[in-house]
Amino acid sequence: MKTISTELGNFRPVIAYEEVLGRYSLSVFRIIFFVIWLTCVATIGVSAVYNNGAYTPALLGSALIFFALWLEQMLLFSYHNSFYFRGFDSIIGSGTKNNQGLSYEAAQLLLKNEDDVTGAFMTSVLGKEVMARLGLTVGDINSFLGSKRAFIKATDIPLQTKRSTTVYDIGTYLYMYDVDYKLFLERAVVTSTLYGGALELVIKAYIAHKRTLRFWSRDQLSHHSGIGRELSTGIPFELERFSTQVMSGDQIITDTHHTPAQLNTVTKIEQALARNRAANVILIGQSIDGAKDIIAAVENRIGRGTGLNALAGLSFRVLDTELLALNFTTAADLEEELLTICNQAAEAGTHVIVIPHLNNFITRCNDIGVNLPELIDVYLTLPTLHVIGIETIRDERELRNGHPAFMSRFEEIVLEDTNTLDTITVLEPIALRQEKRRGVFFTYDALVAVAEMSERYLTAGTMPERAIDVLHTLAQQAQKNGSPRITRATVSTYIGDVTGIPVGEIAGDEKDRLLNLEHILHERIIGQDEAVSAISRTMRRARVDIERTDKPIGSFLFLGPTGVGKTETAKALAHTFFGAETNMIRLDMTEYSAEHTLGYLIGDENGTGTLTDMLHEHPYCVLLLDEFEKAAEAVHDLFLQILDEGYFTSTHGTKVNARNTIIIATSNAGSDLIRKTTSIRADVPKLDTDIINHIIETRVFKPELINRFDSTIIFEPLDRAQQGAVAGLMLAELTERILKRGYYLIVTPALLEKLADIGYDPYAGGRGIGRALQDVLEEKIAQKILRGDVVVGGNLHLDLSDFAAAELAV
Amino acid sequence: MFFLTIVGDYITWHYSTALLSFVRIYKNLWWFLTQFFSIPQLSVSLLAPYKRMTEHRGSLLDIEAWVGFFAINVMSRLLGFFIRVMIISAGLLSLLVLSLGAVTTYALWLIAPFLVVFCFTFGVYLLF
Repeated sequence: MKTISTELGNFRPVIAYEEVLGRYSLSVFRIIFFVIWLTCVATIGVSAVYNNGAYTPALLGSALIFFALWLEQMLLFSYHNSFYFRGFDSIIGSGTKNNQGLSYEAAQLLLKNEDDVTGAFMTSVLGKEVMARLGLTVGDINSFLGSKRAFIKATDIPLQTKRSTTVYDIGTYLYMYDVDYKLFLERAVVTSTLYGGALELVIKAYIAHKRTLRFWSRDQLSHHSGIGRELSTGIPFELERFSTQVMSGDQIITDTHHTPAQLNTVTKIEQALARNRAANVILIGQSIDGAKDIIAAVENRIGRGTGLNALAGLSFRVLDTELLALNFTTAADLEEELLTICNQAAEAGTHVIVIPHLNNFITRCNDIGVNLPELIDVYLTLPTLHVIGIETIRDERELRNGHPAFMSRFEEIVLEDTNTLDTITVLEPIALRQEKRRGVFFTYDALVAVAEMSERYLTAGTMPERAIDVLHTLAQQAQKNGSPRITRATVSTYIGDVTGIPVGEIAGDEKDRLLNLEHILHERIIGQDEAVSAISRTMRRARVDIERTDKPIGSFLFLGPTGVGKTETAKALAHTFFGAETNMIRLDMTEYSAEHTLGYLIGDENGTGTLTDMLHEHPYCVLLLDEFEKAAEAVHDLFLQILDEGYFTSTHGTKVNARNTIIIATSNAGSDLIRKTTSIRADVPKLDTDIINHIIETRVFKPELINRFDSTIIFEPLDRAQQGAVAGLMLAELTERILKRGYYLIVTPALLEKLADIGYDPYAGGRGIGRALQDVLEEKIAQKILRGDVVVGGNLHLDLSDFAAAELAV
Repeated sequence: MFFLTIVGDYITWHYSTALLSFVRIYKNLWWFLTQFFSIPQLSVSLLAPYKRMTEHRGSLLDIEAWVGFFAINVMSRLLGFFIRVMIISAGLLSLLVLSLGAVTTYALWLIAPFLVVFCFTFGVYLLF
């Protein structure tokens, strides 16, 4: 049983030696000695030729001395290597031997300061990088190390039982047992997940680098594939003519990156292809390219010898269905060509034919007069030929229903969605490469932010590809701007710029705007104190990310009679959160009152749906659902899912993201009760409960639907004074409109008061005022402009006296 | 003192752990060369047709087709045989070179510490 003390004793001489002469210096000396020795030998050779075999003893002596020095350096280097790579197989999981002990770096770290492991860790090369990845500065570290704290000793560190103990294990131990260290990290807003992630990233990168240095190890040697294997396999000439190699988008296969979920799919494909008979696969995913990526990964693994042994030598060809259909326009020709391709491929015995958009190809063949499923059915049962069909979720159903017998020849594999953790794993090696190439530096939190925000805020493309794109763009920008450090804030700024959604740290204007949201909304909304306050509270919570991220930004059910400011509130929110009122999209739900109208929203066989298109064009918006109670139950159910999960699946199988929207459903349901109860001014919380209960009892909405909204907001009817204020706001809007035509509108308070009187309608709310302004004021303005009573640039002054009694009696 | 410790540790390592590592590295390289030249796969398919190029057997009564089938298949197999034999030979040769190199290096390794001392001392002697 090894102990830390004995292990440190074993490492002490070699590590002390490295402190005198580092690995780099060792290599330099070795090369210098070797070159001098060779020069001496060459000189001896030359002088022997020109001096009849004679040379000076000094020259021979020098050659011997430098040979001795070189050999000594070689031996020492090997000696050092032996410690440097000690237990490395157990760390990378390729050895089966019990390798309990310390890794070289762990021993080096502990020997640096055996009485203060935390200090040694934080000032070691790897520890420093971990700190930098966590966004901590040298100043932070020094101030912590200089503070009063308890020390962890080297002998406190436990050894791993089966494998070498690494710097990762020491870092993890310190986080768990050094209370001061943990507190220091917590104060710097470093969570355990961030710490673990950064530590793992640094150690993983180091191990990957160290791995490449062991060229003699089996894991490095296995990267080369054999030269003789393809001699035993055949060449299907016709297949090669009408197919291409598996490429993923514009990238060559070696450049693709795979998440654990994707690797899981890779394994499933390998297992399916390794079956004896009918070893065919149908891959179903969001996109064809995503599926090709996975196939590229399978081919890559087989090529590297890391795939299943049974698949060794398999090669994948993507059938160019377009080219085939263009070249063979008659049924007989196409049939013959397809049979030739299959025969040759089956004879070659090592080919996998990949058919993208299988359903489309079947339809296309059918149009020419070829029944593809029947034609190739016999080949699908052969052990010497494999077919992988790729289909999108959209067309898969049609394929399955249209050709059930044909489909039974395939094993169905659905591509899994990528989660944030998987995305980070994919981003890590790419970030490291970008760092090397562009001289930039990503903090670990920045990588987490790229993964999270690309998933949450970006909608175009698939994951993890869109996160990779963001990462590349950030690295390019950082290099261009000369600010190489990329942090979470950099990512938020970029995502905010691209989407127009405020994300990341809340500062400046936005902070003021959020804190004064009630005030801002009240500039446009009269009264409705409770409603405005409830909306503001919800929006603040959403912005500081306290809310769940897998839902829309905010969702509200606005209840109340007509003309009390429901739509105006939605517009104000669109303006405040998305920069302009135009970022509000509106659906009149009365159009979706019949059950079959669900298809109009999410798409049907005639095309895409209104909601799908709207969210595609405006992924960041306020979605206003007017008169929501009129929608059919199926439509309510659709929104039940959207409110809960933030997305829905269109009829064509694509996932439509609604997580970047504020959903506002308005309804007049319960208006009478609202009017009645507010007239007696019952206390508001009770009023809310009564009204919601009433709506549930009258079965306007299901209780679960009401519960899905972040808040149900009751808009009270406006009293006479409030409607007067509404008149003021509407007049201000009108004045601005008229000003655009070049006239300065001035309306006296007396006239405005009169207009408010005319428009006052407890049942129509603001709408009554709007009508009064339109019928009385706008009519008068039009008359004056037409008569030429006012010139462009002049004042359009209107008073009560300008109107005849009849004109005011609307 | 430090020098003595490190020399002591070194000598122990040189004649124990290092020799085992030596064998392991030799085994790795042996495995790599056999895989690289696909020696096992090529040996079992020595007489298989080259890249599976074969002709289908026609009717036995059609002499011309039968001769064609026979000639092409025999040629394909012969071509496959020659190319495989060449690759296998190259592989075996590289294994031989590896083994000879390993034996030489192993022998050198055993005397290396003495060689360092001897060459250095003799070199100094010749120089002065």
